[in-house]
Amino acid sequence: MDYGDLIQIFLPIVLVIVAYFTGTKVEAEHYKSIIEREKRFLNLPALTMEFKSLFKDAESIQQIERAELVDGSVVISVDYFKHFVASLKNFFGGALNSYESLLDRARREAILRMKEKAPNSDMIINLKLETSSIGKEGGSSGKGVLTVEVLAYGTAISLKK
Amino acid sequence: MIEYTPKELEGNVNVSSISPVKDFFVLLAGLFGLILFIYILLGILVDIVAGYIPAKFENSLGNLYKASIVHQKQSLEIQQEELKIQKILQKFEPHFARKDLKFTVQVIDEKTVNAFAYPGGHIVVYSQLFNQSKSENEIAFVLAHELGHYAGHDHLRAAGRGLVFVLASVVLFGSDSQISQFISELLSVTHMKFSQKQELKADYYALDLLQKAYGNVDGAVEFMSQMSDADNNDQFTYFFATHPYPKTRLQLLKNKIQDKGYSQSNPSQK
Amino acid sequence: MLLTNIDCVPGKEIKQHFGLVSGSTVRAKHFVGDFFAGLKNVVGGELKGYTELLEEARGEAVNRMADQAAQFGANAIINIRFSTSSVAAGAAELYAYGTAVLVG
Repeated sequence: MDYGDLIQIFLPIVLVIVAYFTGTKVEAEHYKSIIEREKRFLNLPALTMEFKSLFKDAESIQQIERAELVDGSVVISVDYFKHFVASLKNFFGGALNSYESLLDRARREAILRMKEKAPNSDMIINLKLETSSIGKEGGSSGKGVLTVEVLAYGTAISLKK
Repeated sequence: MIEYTPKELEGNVNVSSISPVKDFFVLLAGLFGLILFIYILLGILVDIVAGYIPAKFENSLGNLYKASIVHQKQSLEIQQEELKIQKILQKFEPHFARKDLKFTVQVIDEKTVNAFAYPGGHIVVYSQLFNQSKSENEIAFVLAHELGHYAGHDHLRAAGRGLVFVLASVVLFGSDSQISQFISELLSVTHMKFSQKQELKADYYALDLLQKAYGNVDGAVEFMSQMSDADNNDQFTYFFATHPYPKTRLQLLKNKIQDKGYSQSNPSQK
Repeated sequence: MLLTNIDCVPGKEIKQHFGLVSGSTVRAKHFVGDFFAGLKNVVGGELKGYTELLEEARGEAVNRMADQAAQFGANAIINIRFSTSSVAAGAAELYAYGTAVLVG
């Protein structure tokens, strides 16, 4: 047994420690930006409601100036520390809390990007969200760090002023 | 049109407030506990079983292994060395506890100092040992050390533990998940510690056997001090090795000799 | 909290809406459960342990979504959608989202 083997044992430990600090910082900055942009877009709601329930009569349909498909997507990966905690938790079972913030950030970011594509519209209706876990080593197969793609899409409606 | 009321959310229900650091340590402690539990449980089981395995089974196990060792054409010199070893073994025989094993000796022409024993009483010695050692006593110590492994059924235990762990880890964690890799690394570290303990036990057994057969324990200190002089590795690298750090091993041998009052013809030796 | 996956709450009128609400949770089964599920995989059939796990997780996701709606002062969520994605071997994320509304 030589230093090579020692490195093999200690490398994951060092990675976990480094990843904890960098991951926490990256996440805090991302949340700061998300909250700030969400405030800006507070008056542009994204709804799962469908067209017919919002525009029931001919009169309200006439108010619409423009309707177009908008989408926003993001691919984001969890840090090695959270991945490690989640793998341990996966073994014992229960809620994998350390993945929650990743998915939350991914969805909010995707919705924001979608809104940023139609900043002057009044609402986005029929919102749909797709989540898929991707990754170099098969994503959901157990190896490799979790990477998710979230796609948000809907129809942006602009009303006549 | 339905009226829209913009409101901001406070807090975030979708992200738990549990600190991941706390989670991390709790889980890690749980994992260590589980591994230790499995290790101790299986270890005890294997130890119990190893003591009851009949020599006949051990012999057939040994024969399987023997087939995988290279057989060389033996020079006259090597044959003489094998005879020498047989003679030493005969001296030990009346003092050795296990009468159920028949010992065979094989000398292999290799340029490193090494000797090992495998199940069924087969002892393999590398010829470099003869070039390096100055006296019969040193070779006797090496042999006595290997006999110590037989006395403790160490190979059977090591093989049993190895087998059980491979099985357990594959069944529990699957063959290639990342967590199972981490666990097997942890296990191998624990296993090394176990192995180091066995080596020391064999050393102490060897001292006892030397004292009984030769009336002194000269070879032990001579051999170990040579080994530790030849060793250039850091103490740190021995943390994960199967054998203890030679300098520590030498010191422990010296302590034991003093404790037990074993006789030495040349106590001034380093 | 009234939950529907249609565009309205029948018999009631939607007075105002508050935008998107969502809830999510990630769950995994413990290693003993995983082991038995692996055995069951060989013969096929329902993996009861996993059904229970996902059921429970979906309930938790809906609860979280309802919590958000309650914060807005809504009393119903309409047009609810579920999505399940597998984030790691033996672990799944349950996500529920809908539009929070006030009905009366």
